[in-house]
Amino acid sequence: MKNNTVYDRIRARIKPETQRYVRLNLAIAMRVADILQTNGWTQKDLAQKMGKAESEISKWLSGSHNLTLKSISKMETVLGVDVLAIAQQEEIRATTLLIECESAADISERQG
Amino acid sequence: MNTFAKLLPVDALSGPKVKYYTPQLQDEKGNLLTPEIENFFLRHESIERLTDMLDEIFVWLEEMAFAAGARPEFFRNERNAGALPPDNQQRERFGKYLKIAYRDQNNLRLYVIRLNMQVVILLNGGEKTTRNPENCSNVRKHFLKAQRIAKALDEALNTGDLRYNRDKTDIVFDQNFEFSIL
Repeated sequence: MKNNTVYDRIRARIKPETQRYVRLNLAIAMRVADILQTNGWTQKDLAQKMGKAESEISKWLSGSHNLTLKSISKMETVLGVDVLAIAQQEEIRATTLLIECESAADISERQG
Repeated sequence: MNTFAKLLPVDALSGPKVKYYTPQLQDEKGNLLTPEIENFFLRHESIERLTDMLDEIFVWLEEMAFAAGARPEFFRNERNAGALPPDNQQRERFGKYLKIAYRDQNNLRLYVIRLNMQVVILLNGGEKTTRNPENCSNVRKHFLKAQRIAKALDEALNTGDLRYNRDKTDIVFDQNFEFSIL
């Protein structure tokens, strides 16, 4: 029977925006981290190339700051990649994996 | 007090990137108690002011399991154990970008033992109200228990009672494996 464990209950109540918030932010974070690593850049380098203070970039990439499309666009321009689109692909991939695993668990539960 | 514990897989949260396990302790009469991570969620799921913090930790666990893996920078150092969410110093040190996945204020602590990128032991925790966890009535016992469990599992890894599989993507142990938490 579904929704009978604490995990199911919490999973069922999670606000879509909380899930999207964590997933998208994580995907962007990982994407930016990967790009910086690939380029051999530090966050300070990114700040310099964007003409911003490092503290400003740190703020951009912190939970206390809502990244605007303008900020993301500028970051994408400096990094030379489509950060947001790739981040969304990562999010979709993670969601797909989750659905696949839940389906497999359902099948296993029915068979068991 | 000498308490024994078994190690259980947490299939409900595990994914292709991370396998989670949790201890199940026994009381003094040998009865099995609620597994640690389940107890953590059960105790906090109905506390309204902690809802967002708890849900975020839950989503974070799933994200690691299904997408990111258990990167060290995702964890806060808690002596011999770890915890979620990471502290600002860790964020600064390992990856400033990671801060974005958290709310600024999240005083809920989930103690964990990160064995490697693929295996994490989920423990228990609570709402931390003081800087030093040993001074906080909510988390003190969970913090100290995490230290004892970390020590016990370290010993089990040394003796071979607990082992990694060939590619270190999981741990292997006998079905009857149990460890003592002194």
